[in-house]
Amino acid sequence: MSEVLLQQIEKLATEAKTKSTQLRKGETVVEVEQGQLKNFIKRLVTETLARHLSTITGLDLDQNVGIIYHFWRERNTIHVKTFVPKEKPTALSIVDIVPGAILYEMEIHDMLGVEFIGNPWMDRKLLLPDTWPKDLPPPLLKTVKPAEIRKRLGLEVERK
Amino acid sequence: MQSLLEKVATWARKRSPWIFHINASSCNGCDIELVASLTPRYDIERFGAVLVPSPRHADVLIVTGTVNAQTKDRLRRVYEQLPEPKLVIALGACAAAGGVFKGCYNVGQGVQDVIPVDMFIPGCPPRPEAIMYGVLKLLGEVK
Repeated sequence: MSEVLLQQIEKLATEAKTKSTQLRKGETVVEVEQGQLKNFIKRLVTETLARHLSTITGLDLDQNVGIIYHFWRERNTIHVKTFVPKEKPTALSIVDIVPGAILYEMEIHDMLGVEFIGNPWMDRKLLLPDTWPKDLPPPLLKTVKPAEIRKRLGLEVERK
Repeated sequence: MQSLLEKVATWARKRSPWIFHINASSCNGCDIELVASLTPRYDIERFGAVLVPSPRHADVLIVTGTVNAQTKDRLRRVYEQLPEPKLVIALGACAAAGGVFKGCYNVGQGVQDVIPVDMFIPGCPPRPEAIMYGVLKLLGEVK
């Protein structure tokens, strides 16, 4: 990672009251609190020009749901990590800063149940069927039992 | 007893089966092998088999891929559009039993839970020779 970019990210991280760690050459991780996240990403996109959002990853950790934004610029990747509580998973949407995030946020909403405030398509389904029952839990949470969901969807058929 | 007309129709169907291929969320491996069996190297068309673009023109329905919550109803709808008599071939491990995706929250246990299947062709993916052998063997059973 170029020194200039590294310094810029370090500066942004300090201003967001956190630190950046370098995983290996060209890969930096920044853990940002939910309150600072939008400002951090806005400055990352406008000031360091790391505006290519490769994807957003969702993680089911026991107490929290982790959301990782993978930004990319000229062979350098910046992973911006944030956590939301699993009981009431709500996060701020970054659609107004990075419009391409809309589908990634919908996917995490489908699979892990995180509500992104500000995303206009939170009432729709992306990967799950439109007929998905509302009382079923998001399928990729670790507490979910796949066999029960299959039974509800009518996919478990008894063979003769 | 079959009438003469039915005998002629069966004879024609056996010598020129029209195939409709539906991808019920396949990984594309079986689809590529099915297309390979149509290419000049294997050339399933020398047996009269043609891929048709509409299920309403088809005699044989070839299903690839694992059946999941999204494709289950669509597969049944396509099957109902086929004119009688219809033959169904489940191509590949996924179509036969769910394949590597079996156990997933939205994946069923194969095509036969949704529509009746006449022939399973195993493999992940099956070779073009296996596909041709399966299609021809199924047509040999038609009376």
